[in-house]
Amino acid sequence: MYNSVLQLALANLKTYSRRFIAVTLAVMIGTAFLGATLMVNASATESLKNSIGSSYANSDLVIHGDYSAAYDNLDAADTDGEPDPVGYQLGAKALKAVEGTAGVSAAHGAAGTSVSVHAGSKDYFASVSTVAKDPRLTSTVLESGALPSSSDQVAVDATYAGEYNISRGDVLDVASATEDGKEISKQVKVTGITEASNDPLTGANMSLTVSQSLLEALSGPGETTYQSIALLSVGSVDLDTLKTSITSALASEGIEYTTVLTPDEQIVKDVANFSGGNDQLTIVLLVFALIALVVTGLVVMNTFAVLIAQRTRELALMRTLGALRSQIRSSVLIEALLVGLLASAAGVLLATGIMAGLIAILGATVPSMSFAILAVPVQAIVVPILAGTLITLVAAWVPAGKAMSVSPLAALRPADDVAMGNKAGKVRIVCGLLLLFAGAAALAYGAIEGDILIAFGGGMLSFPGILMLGSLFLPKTVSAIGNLTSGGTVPGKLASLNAVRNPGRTTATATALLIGVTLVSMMMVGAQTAKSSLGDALGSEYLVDIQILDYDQKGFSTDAIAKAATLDGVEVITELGSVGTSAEGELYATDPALLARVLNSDKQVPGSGEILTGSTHEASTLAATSYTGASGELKALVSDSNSFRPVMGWDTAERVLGITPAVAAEATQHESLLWLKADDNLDAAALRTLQTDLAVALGVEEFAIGGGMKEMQMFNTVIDMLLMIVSGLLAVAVLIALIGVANTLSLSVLERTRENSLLRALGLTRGQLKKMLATEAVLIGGVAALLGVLLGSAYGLLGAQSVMGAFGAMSVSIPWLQLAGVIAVSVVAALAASIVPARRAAKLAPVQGLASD
Amino acid sequence: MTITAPHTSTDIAVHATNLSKIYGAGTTRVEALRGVEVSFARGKFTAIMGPSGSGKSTLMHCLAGLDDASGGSIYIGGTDISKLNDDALTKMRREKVGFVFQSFNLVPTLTAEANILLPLALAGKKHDAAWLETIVATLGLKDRLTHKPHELSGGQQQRVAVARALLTRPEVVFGDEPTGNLDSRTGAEVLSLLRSSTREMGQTIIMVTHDAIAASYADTVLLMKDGELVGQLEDPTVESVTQALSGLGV
Repeated sequence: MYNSVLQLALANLKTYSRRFIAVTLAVMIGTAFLGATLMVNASATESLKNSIGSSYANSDLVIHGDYSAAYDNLDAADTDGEPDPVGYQLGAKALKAVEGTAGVSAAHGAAGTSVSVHAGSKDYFASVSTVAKDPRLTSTVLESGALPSSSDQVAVDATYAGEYNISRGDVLDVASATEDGKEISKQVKVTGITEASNDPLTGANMSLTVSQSLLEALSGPGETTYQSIALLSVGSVDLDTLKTSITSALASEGIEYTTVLTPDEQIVKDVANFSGGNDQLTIVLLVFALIALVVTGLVVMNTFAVLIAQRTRELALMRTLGALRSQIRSSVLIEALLVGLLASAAGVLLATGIMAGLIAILGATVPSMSFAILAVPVQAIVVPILAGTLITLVAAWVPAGKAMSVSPLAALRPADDVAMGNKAGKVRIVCGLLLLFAGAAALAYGAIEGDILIAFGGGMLSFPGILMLGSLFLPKTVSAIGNLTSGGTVPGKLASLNAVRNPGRTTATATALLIGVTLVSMMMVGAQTAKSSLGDALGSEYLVDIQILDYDQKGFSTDAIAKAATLDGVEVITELGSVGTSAEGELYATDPALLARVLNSDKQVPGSGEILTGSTHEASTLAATSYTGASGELKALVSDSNSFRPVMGWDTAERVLGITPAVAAEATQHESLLWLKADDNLDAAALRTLQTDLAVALGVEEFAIGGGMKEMQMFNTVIDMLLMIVSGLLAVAVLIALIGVANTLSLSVLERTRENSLLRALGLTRGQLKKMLATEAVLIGGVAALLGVLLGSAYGLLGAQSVMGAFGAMSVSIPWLQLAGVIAVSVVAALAASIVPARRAAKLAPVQGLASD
Repeated sequence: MTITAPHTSTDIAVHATNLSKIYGAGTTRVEALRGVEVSFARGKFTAIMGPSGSGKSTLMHCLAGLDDASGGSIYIGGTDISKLNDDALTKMRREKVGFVFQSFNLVPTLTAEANILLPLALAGKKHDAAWLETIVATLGLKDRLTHKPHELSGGQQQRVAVARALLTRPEVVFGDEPTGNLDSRTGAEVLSLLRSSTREMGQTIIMVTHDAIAASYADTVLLMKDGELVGQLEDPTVESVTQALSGLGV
């Protein structure tokens, strides 16, 4: 049958292809994001397989002893609380049992030992792997020479051979310690150089390939145990059946607790052990990908709504000529399907390209990451294409429904602009309000109680609620701000009228941007507040910025201290002298005024008769003994810092223990410390410079310089980095939304060709026309950004409160500059988005536009 | 007053009884059609004329199933279309009715040929190749079939629309000011084509126009005023039509 609906959809795509550019871009970016996310995980796994799993990658099955299962099944015989090694250790018996199982063609036990290698005049640590009887199971790849074939031969990996100047023909001493503590030493000759290992677990050491006989010689009289046994099947056997028969063969030898896995399964297990957080990273990235896709959906919906509004007469003509409603809808949906499919496929290609590029850069710039390879799993292709197509289809569903309801008579009317009304349905308003109130209540409760889970749930409920209510407040806000800013000029007034002429479209365009901006500003405000609240918490945890120890116990000279005090970034410096001991260890005293200034928390300054202790001290007093033998009791002020040297003022030391600075300086056990307060604004590099300068000025090694500042900076760096990554990811959503603004505007311009021409004919200059369109774009973009920043700040503060609630008081801190930046970027981008459509509209001669149909 | 075009009961293509159409309610209530009774003979070319607001366009829209009547019945080829739901009405349109409008007759994205075949394509039906060839040859469109509408002149576009209307051998072809956008020479050409399609192919045509010259191509002219039929002319000439119109106070 001749498919007219498909033909029509194709003809539309071909003729109006330019109008689909924005949709294609939006879908492409959204799906590329999703695809890249899925590839990150797969590539990480594949890269680790290329490294961790390289020792068993070629085998069919890998057997490991399962210590934790053995531990879980402790019985009465295990009196020492440890399971019997017989149950989980793999040795010669296990290897024999595996080799004897029907269906196994070859098996190889991988050594789990390491040896020390004496070459030249130095000793090196080396991990050992053995040559398998079946060459397919040998994990090392020869670069030159030959693999060892007897007990006096070894092969060394290329990296370490180069580094330690070992070449073929060299003789090395190899030694291992046996279980009974004896050392077994062998002289071996290097017969080959192997390729460097990619395994991050062993790549840090020299890797030695030895023959089975040498391994046995080095293992001593005890039984050789293997870390794992890799095997090859005969090929025709079903692996699951083989797994079962191997497990039972081992169990019948008393080795009950084993895992028999395929290399892929083993990789998953190893990777989970090795990286831990990989899956969480994927989940977090998937959430961002989802946000990007939702924004994509909004842009697509908007675009199709406009495309259909433009095509109303055409659709009406089709209806007149006998197109069923369902045929009209099918035609629109087929267009969406094709666009979605092509754009998603392009998105996957884009993702593959980006990932390949990133991995190439990573491999080239970070030597330890040279094993990274790109993996494109089937799901990273299928899922984004399905998701992208589905999102496009779903987003086109509503506009398609409107297309369907076009009356045939519309074809006969003169070419009015047929506005597509989009009133907020009552159901939607009620749902929106319910979600908003329920969400806000949960959010408030979460913030007050410091429960991030409840607050998160509240956020997840209330934000969609607000979006559903968008049609109530977005057009009104745009209109109000438009009236405020129009300045009474005709283009200004027209722009603010045009911006809300189609409330539905304005709402959808603004909503897309609102989502992105809200999320970005939420992260900014949340992070800033968390940082500042953490700063307070950290201040009492890390009371001292920099602490300098006097390891050689010579004390610091007054000159050196004075010199250190003048260094850039040093605000306060004070010397602490040892005055005695207590249950909390060595006690110190210092100048009380300087102490108050050097400590990071003003709540934790010891007064007269008080000593500031670490958080480990529990009693309200502390008994002290001076090194002159005097003793006394001090009132304890317990700090939040857990590793802290107890400190008091000299006044207290003199009164309670009779030690003055002069007495302390004369004592032989004199030990002193320096505490510094550094400029809060020092960055990591400046702090490092300061440390070096201090080391020089005070004549100490750099490792003697410690303190809390580095940790605090690390926290801040982590938060900043997270914020940067998260903002970067959310920026994708903002980018898509901005494409949406450009798209809405350019379609509106197309739609209003006649009207714009009329305005031109009536005397609107080109400049005024451009200005009018720019104003319209800026109004929509600016209002969305403004509301987004407000909303995001509220979410950020409440979120930070619910996270930090557990840590105590929150200190509100708003990153004004960053938020202003977000608004500025949105406005400028909206302005940029208006350039192309405005130029097109201005190019049209007044008469041309009026004649257009 | 009821005026009926001459017919015998078996050769009536379109028939309406007591047809009324009311827009709005209360003070904005407008009665566009007031109980119109009309029959259109099969194989005849009928023009409906009348001043602006006389209801001639509304009558055509209702007869063609493009607009719902407020009351009365409409029969096309014996089927009462006022009782059909939207899908059935749509199917009726594509099988039994053809349209030629004043402007915007063609789907701009499709070629002339695809436009001609559109109603059949929508119905999922095969076209009669010989019939298509006859129509295309008659309308002189052979060399234009692969062109998009914007590559055709106004007259050519209108001829494509006529071809499309004739291809399904519909019960009736409705024309809504089909020559309104054409210059007089091209207009005359299209009108001749419409007339010859009634003479040679037995096609029933109902055309709404306010142009006396266009109406003079018809076999019968019906005159409307204030939602009612008020007169009828057989074998009209430009002069008789103009005279009749001026009798209506136009």
